[in-house]
Amino acid sequence: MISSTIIRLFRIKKFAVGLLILLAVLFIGIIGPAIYKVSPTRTVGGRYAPPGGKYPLGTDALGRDVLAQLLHGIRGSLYVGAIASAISLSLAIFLGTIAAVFGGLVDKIVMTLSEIFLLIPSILLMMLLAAYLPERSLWIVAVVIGITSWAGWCRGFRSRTLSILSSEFINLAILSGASRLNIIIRDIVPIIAPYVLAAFAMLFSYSIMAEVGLTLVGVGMTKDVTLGLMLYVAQIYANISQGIWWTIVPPSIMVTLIFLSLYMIATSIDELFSYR
Amino acid sequence: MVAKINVNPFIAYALKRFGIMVLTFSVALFLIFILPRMIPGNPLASTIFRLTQGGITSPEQLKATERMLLETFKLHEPLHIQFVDFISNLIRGNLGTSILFYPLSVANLIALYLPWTLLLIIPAVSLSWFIGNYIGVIAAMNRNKFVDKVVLTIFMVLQGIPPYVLGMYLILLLAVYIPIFPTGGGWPPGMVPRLSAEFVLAYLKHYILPFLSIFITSLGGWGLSMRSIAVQELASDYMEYTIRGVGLSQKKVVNYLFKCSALPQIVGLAIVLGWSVAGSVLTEIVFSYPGIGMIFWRGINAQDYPLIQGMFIIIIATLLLANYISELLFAYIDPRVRYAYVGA
Repeated sequence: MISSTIIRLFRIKKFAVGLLILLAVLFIGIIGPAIYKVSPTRTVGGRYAPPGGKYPLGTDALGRDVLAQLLHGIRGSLYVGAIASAISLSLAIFLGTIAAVFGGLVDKIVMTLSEIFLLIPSILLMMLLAAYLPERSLWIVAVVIGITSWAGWCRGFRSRTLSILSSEFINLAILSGASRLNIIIRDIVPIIAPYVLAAFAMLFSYSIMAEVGLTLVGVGMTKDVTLGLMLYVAQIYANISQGIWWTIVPPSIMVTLIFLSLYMIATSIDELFSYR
Repeated sequence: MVAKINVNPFIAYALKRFGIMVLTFSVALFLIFILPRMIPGNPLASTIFRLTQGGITSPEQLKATERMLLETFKLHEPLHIQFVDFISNLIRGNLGTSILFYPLSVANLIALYLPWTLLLIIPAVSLSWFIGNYIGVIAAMNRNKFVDKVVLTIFMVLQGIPPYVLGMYLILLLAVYIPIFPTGGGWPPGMVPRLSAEFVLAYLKHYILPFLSIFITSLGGWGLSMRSIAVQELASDYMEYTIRGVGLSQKKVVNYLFKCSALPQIVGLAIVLGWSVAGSVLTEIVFSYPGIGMIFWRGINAQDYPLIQGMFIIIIATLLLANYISELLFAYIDPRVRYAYVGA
């Protein structure tokens, strides 16, 4: 049954294309820095050397190699996406299922909490935190994005769990003496797994975009190279109005590709499983 | 024993949501209050240190800045007095004085720059709402045909491009390589905003690119959601009746479909407009457009704490209010929402 579902998923053209793009980007981000061994943070030549010759993608405002920056930047952005979405997804699953299964006071507290986190725009909370931390590494930014983006998905998991709880086999599990935590792990999580996958893809792309946005505003990354930091440096040195395209076009295309591929994957998973 | 009073479900719903809004605003205020005071290493002291290194040179100016920071944050007082002071200032509408734009208060700055942001956002978002939704309906009418597939692909790509990235490309293309438009700013340097034909023309020239970047990128989101709403609507019996039974023209059906499917989208418009102040920050930065986002950005880069704090309060307040209005709108349109809340 699982294998037939996967085959059906791959038949959706949108899913296949999205996955292909994502795998290509992942491959570049993971293997790239190992093959092209140039430091992304060291000054290697004059500033604004155009692409071609010694520097395949030219150099930036500080004379750093843009290709090396791009490869490390993709890697950095993927790290941010992975860490942030892992944190927010685990919070969402944990709180959502707990709220549904335990009900009562626990449910009320979780729902009110998620309501507050939904209404307080996460990007503002991140700015507020970041504005007061002068040195910001990849980890700080990822953790901040993670702990502010769980609320919407938590509510989604809660309602899915509630609809599962009303089915017959859960009653049987309760009668057979299974504990509530056991029910969550053995009965509920496997059923909501495809939804978890879609949520992961959406959160991953959201986190990468959020990092770019935060860094561009000047409250995100300051230490590690990411796609956001590349755009930030290009923006600070007014590269666009000088027509220096090679510091802007490659990172922005990468950001758009990552977002698009994940969006395609998430929507096709969602379509497949909600039209059952 | 509590007597069961019959309350209008709409009012009950409105009151409950109002309570949640107040609670959320209090949490936000508390965070805004506690975070700068909790971070180790006293950010305010380091700000003053940085100011001595940079721009401000005369000792009087430094003293004035230090006094102002102490006045705004009252760091020498115990925490609870600081909190009472913070709240009472807020109630009086006193958001403090900006360091970067020294004699101006934060409230003054907002009043000065907010109109420019609204002038950019409201037309761009409203127009893209209208056109995006209209194209969405047309795509739904031609479901799975060639037109639909093309529109769907274009809209999906548009949704993936953030407005600031499109903005960067527009500048590269239409201001640098083909220099038709200026690369940024709100009007030519040296010009003073006033109501003359000359100024309006110059402003419009600076206005077109940021307007386009927001307008084009928001088309995708509206169009995609409208298409899926309209597809569901088309499957309903009454639509079957109007198309097959009555035999209305294509154009009339599109108009009816637009009206029937637009309700949830109106609520979405209220939310997006509420976001506008926060959401336009990046576009304004890319175009150095003189709106509230640009001021906010300069405040963040200059570590202007009173300005940052004041902006946060204003932005969160507008957001919560817009959200509240959209919830009321939704409940007004759809009775199921308010009844679900009252439990009647």
